[in-house]
Amino acid sequence: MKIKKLFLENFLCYYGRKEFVFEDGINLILGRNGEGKTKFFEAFEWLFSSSEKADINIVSAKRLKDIKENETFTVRVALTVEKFGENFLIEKCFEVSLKKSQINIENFRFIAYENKLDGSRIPIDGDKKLEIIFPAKIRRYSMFKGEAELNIFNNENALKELIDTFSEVKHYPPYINLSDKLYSWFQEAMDKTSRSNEKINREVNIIQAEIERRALERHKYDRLKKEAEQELEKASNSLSQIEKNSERCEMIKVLNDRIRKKTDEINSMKVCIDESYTTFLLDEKWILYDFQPYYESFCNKILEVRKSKNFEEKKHNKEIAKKEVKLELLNEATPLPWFIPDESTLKELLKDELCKVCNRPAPKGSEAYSFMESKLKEYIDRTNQKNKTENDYELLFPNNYIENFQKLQIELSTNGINIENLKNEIAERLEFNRCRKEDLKRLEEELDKEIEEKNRIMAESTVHEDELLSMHSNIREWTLIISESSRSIEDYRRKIESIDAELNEKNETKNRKLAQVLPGYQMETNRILKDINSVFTNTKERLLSEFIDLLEEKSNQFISRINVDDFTGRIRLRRSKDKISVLLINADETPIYKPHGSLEISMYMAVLFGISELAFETKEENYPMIFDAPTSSFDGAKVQDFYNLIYDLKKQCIIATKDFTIMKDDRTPCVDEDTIEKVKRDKTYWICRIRPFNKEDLSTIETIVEPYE
Amino acid sequence: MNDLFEAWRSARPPYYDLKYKEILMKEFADYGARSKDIKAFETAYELYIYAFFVGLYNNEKKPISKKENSYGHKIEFWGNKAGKKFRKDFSILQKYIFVALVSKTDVDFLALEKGDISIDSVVSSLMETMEQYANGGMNLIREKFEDNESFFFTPTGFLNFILKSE
Repeated sequence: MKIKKLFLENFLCYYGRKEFVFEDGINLILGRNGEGKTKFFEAFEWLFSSSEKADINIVSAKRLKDIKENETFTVRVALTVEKFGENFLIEKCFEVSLKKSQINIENFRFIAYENKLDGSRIPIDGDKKLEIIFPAKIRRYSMFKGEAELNIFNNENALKELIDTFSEVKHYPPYINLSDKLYSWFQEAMDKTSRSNEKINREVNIIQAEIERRALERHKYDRLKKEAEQELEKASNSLSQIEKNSERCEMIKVLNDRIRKKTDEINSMKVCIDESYTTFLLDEKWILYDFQPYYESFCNKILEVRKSKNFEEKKHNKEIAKKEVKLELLNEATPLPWFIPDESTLKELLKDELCKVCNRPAPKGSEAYSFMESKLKEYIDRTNQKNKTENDYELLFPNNYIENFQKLQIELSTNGINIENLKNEIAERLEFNRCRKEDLKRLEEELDKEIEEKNRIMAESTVHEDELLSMHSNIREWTLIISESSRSIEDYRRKIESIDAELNEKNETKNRKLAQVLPGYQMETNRILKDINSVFTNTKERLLSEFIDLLEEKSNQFISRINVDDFTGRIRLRRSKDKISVLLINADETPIYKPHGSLEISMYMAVLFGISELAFETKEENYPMIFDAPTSSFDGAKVQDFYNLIYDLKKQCIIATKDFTIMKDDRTPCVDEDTIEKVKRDKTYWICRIRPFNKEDLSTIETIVEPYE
Repeated sequence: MNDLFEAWRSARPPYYDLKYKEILMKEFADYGARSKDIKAFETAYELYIYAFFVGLYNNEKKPISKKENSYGHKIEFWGNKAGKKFRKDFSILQKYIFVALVSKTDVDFLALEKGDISIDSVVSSLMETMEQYANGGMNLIREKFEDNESFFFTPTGFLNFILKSE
């Protein structure tokens, strides 16, 4: 069977109609990361899966964005295949329409077309036809999707599927079951006959009871052995994972440390940036930034009122010939309020005979000294006024609100807000925050890069981060489990062997006893039935072993071809009841539990090639193999060896890879002409996204497909 | 008492126009401290002070058409943030508002000193000046909000608005 053509229409990044025409040998689909290689592989997966139906998630986002009201378009994956000289078209498709602003999905079809002799084509059920042309059991071993799905036997039914598909062993189980039943029926019949002789019957019953007891014991050890084998396998796999992930784990630890530090820095920076500007208007009194003119206006008003009040008061006092001392200032200037300076200050000035306001001497008897004496007297009189009765004299201004205004003015000028500085304070804070935000943006960009790097590393890992980081702490534990499990398995194996020998002996004793009472033909029939049962069971076991040996041999031929001049070990397929596992062993037969990445990939691919050979031998037909990024962990020389090996196989292989591609000027992806020329190939396609595109908008992505000659 | 400042700040809470209750007070202030959202102003009176200064700096006085005072904080409690986390006391702003009102209100202080006019009438005049400036300020905020709905929902919105209103 050969794949002749793949046709994609509005499938994921393949906007519009795209076509790949394949040759019989090696077909390369070259593209950098993210350009559409995996989507190409997923097109095969979608077509081959009988459960996958119409799904809006596989529709080209760009096409979906372009859709107009009442418009309909098709999403299609179609394959043209050739089988025994006849061409078939298999296609899966559905329609997407926009009606009343609502996206609808309809008309899903999975059909194949069969060519009739008269040239007409008849549509038939696609799933059924696909199963005939390219059976699912073969497909399972024909498609390889990167490192993440390496272990092709990681499936409970893997061994059974392999046998059902490729081996004659599948015919034996019904015969074994039948002979088992015949043998046990005959045993029961013999037991009934033996019961007629009481003595022998008693002895046989005792032996039978012992056989059953020992059989139960055997069953127990068998179960314990299986548990120990499972433990061993689990521990071996875990150790293998640890080794494979060791470097990755170290890198993640370093990156986590850097991410934590960056996050701490970002958090500290965020704390520094306080943009509660609305709150600052009140709490930091920024709202007064333009208040100066109003304050000055207030001061002037108070001064004017005080002047007027003083003038009227003097006039009034003269009129009523008030006895109190009133001070006259030069040029009839408005005196300071009576409470400035206060009593203690005035007394100090008088004592020191010095005016400490103008720093001039004021000796006793001088005009200045007399002025200060009068000012002190006025202060004392004013304070004493409160004790006088209102009837002592009539006041022009019984209220004194102005005095409190003046106190308020003094308080604000001495302990108030520095209004002139507020504008600078606001500007400084805004500038500070602007600089910190720039720092924050830079830190966040750096953090994004670290996270991107971490995601890139984790994307290549098959285990979750927590598991990855905790792996190393468990090395000792796993090593201990491996050692203990191996010891236990050996112990149980010896016990089971010993019980088996004992059971054989008991059975023989029982049969000898029965022979004393049973006719000779019955004993002979019993022996024949037992032999028939053994023949079926042993033949099945032998065929199974031969089949596995054959697959192992073929796999080993391939691994040495994939890893020319390199260490490979040998592939060992280990069967444990109904499961099969693949591992590498050293020349001394010890398992290599920690094969490095490329060796492990080589191992699984060698098995796949081995299965492909088996498929050819058993079905007399070659099937294509489809790979997605098979060589991502190979180094340069091995990459070329790998492709040349596939070329030499003369099998149809379709391989999506980023090998032989480079980034020109760090921006433009292109084919590396120097390396691609050294590789033997039959057909090459180049895929890449149309540029420019918006990296945050999927609907700007379209992959173009070009044959590379 | 002879202290006009005390008389003014311990009088009733000032009125504001009812029409601003929904469109400004509840939009930008945690009106009645019931909102689940974080508002630009923690209390309604904070927005009132802001509006007063906007009106003052723009010389925008507008009489109130329909009075509302349901937010209820007397002026003497404005800015008392003692015990409040992440806030600072700004009760000193009471004094600056008073200074502005004395400066901008036409009152015969000599008559007050003589006892010819009552302190209550002076307090009433100061209060009216305050209400008119705050009302004028609210009107300017409303106009800006109608012009650009997102303007005040940025950290710098209210700051920029008052800085540009010089």
